[in-house]
Amino acid sequence: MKQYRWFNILTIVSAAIFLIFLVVKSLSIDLEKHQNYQTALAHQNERKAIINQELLKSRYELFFSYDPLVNHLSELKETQAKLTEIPKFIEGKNREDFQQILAKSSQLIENTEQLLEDFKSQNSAFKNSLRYLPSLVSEIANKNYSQINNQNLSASLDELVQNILLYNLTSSEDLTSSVKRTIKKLQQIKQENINIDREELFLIDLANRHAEIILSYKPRIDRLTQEILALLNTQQSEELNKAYYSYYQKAINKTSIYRHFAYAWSLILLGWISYLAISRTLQLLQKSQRAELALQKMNEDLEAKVKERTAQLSDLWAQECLSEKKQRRAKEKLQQRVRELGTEIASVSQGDLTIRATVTQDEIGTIAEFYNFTLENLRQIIVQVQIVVQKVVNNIKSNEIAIQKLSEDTNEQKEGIAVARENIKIIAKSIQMIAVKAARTEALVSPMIRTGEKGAILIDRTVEEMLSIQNTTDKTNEQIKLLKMCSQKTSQLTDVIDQITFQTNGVAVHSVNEEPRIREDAQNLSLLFDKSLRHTSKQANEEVEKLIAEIQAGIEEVILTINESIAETKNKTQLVQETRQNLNQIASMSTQIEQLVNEIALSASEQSQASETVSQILEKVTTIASQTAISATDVSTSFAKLLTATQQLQERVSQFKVN
Amino acid sequence: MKKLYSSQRTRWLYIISIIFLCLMTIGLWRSSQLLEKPKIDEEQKPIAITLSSGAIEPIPLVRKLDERKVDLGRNLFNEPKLSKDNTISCASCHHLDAGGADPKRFSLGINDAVGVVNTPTVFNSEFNFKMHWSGVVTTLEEQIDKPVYSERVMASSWPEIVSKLQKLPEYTSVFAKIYPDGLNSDNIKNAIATYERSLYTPNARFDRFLRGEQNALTEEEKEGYRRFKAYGCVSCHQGINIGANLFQNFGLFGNYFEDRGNITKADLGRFNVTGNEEDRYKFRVSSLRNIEKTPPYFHDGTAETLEEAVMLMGKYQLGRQLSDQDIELIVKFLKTLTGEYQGKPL
Repeated sequence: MKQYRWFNILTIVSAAIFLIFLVVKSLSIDLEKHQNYQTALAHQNERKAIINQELLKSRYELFFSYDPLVNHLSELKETQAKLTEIPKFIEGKNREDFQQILAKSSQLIENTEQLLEDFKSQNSAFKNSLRYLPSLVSEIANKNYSQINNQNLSASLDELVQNILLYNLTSSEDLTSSVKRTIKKLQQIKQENINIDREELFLIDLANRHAEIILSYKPRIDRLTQEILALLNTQQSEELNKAYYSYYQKAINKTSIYRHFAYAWSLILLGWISYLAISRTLQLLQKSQRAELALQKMNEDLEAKVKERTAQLSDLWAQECLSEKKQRRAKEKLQQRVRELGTEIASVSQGDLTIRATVTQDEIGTIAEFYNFTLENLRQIIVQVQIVVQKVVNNIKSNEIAIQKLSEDTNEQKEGIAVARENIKIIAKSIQMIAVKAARTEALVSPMIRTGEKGAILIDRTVEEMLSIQNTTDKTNEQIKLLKMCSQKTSQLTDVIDQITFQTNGVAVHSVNEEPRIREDAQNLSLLFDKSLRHTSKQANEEVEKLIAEIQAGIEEVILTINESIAETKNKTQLVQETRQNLNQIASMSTQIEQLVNEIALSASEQSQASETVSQILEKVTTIASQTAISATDVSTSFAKLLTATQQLQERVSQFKVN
Repeated sequence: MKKLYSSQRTRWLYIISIIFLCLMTIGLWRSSQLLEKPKIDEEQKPIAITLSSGAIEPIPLVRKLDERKVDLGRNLFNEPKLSKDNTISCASCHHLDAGGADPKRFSLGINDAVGVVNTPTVFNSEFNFKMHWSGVVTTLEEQIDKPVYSERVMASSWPEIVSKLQKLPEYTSVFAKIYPDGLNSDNIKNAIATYERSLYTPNARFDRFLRGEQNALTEEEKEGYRRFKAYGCVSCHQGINIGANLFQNFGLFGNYFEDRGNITKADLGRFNVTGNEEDRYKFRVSSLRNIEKTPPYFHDGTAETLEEAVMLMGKYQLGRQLSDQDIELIVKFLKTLTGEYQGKPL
């Protein structure tokens, strides 16, 4: 079945693919592309015709510019470039053939362009001469160079212009000989007239040369014109058009075949689908008919079964009526047995567990058996309960006294703890007082320590000052010693002065010996030295010696005094230092005392906190003790209640008869 | 009961047959429609033969261009990173204040390499039918390749340029905004070409004259135009750009190159592109627009003044020495061809 379904699907897919293939092939011609190509072909034909037209216009002076030729040729080339994009429906060999035709067309356009360039160049040179010749002839005629009668020359020049213009207008070469004859005539005139002006001669020659240019260029231009016209003729264009349309027609025919096939295939597919639809419908109809018949048959079977079942039910009803009587009898018998059993076990309700029901063979007998078994078990339990209750009662009675004592002890403990708590509170208060007092002591000791410290600092400063005084005194002592040395040096200096004085005198005497001329002066000088300087220096020496002796005596006294003061200062300094050491000891001791007081205050506060904690704990203990006392009381009460309940239970259990 | 079933069956068959018929009808109708030969646009416009009013047409006053591309192209036109040593930009040779050309006879490229031809103007270059003197390329985009790769100009390459520009966020962000494919060589060329298309110079006095403003030219200038036509100059110098739409031999009368001497490869002109003997000494005819502003003249830059250029043209293209009066009048006419860029005269 599954394979059959797969086969069906495969067939449908294949058929659809084939149809798509046929449709795609039938639509292979891109009509837009075809239209564009067709337009390009038409445009190319048009350009060719216009170029021909422009060519003729330029040849016969109907226009004066080559721009249209250039522009149309450019468009023609653009169109040709477009035509190289051949539509896809031209395939295979047809495409290759068409490409060859297009290449031929491109070559033709290239040739045309080349010819057109030649045409333009030559036509321009031709027109140049053609335009200039009449002007030149007119110039020669107007200037009238030669004095001689030159009618013959004028006539020849006019003839030349006429012939040239006529020659230009016709496509025939018949007038060539006339023009050549006129040129020859002009040359003869030139040779015959020896006295002719040189410039005139040059102009005649120039006219002849222009005429010759016209003669030589015109046939070439006409030939070029014909060639171009032949190249761009419609016949050649038609070849391209025909080729394209023939290939297009072939492509159309080919696509038509595909189209017909596609159409036929779609018809087959439609027929097939229709066949399938109809056959499916008929199958469905047949199936529904079969189903209807089957349903009818089933209805009939069901009817027969209902009838049969009704009959069975009526039979069953009759049997039921008979069994009802039997049941009633059995019920009555059962009720009787139940009543008997009730009677047998009535005394159980009064606590007699020794009674047993009679066991019979019926259902009630089974119940009685279970009942007996239960009673036996109950009896055993009651016996055990009675034993246990008795034991409990005995225990309670024995523990009752101990519990009461426990309760009393607990109360006593409670009261004791309360007393202890009060005492601890008193201790705590006293510790707090100690802490307060320690704090006060600390407050008193602290300033004392600070005073001691300040005293130590002051003594330090005093010691420092004394040391500085000592230093100063030492320095003074040294300076005085230096002064003493100076005075000694001064006395030495005085001795030196004395010697100088003595030597000066010697010099003066010596100079007297050396120079007789200044002898008198030297003697005078010697005398002067003898009198004044020696005298003066002696006096000065004496005074200085005295002064030095006095100074030295004063200095020695000062040194003695200073040395004494230094000795005293040293002694005092030692005393002060000792005092300072004592003060430092006091300060350190005070600090120790302060530390001790602090420690006492700290420990007092700690003790206070600890006593508070102890007090709090004791409070909690008191609370617990009171709760314990209450609990002990409760326990005692509970024991009493338990005893009562156990006694009640014992009474109740004793009601059961177990023996 | 059986009758009922058989009638339902018949109805089904009827319904299916009708559906078949409908489908067949639709299919045949559609098929016949598809098989019809596509109609060729028969309503083609008839080819009209109209006579042009003159050889020269005025430049349009306004051209619509993508301004974002123009701005980007302007930056790239002035970007020296286009060259190998980051010294030469397009603007190094095309001076907009010198008529879009180079006042020097030959422009200098990287390492002061001297060019082989005179730099043509960049103004109105869009109207040129081919680019460069030899017409080696057709479009402005193609044209950019030449100076970029030339050893005498920029001596660079597109991968190198793209690599350099990708390091500059000001370019990458702008390219990403304008072009879906961002910064690449094609888009650089397109931006520069778009900018060059914006370098058009409308409203020359001669254009105004062509548009019917008779007083736009003086009598002398009009006489100059008359002689320009009478002496055949207009045979080559015609169209919107007054030239630049055909190739022509330099020296229809006499041999210019022999007279000048020192013939170089660049003198061979179009021959260098085609190899045809007929194209020897053939060059793209120059545009005469703004000709007053773009000396020196010709591909070799030999003519330093406009008068000299006109004189040489008369000698080698017409076969005679033009009179001073002719030259003066024609030059006066040529000076009326100077247009305006962004509303200001060049």
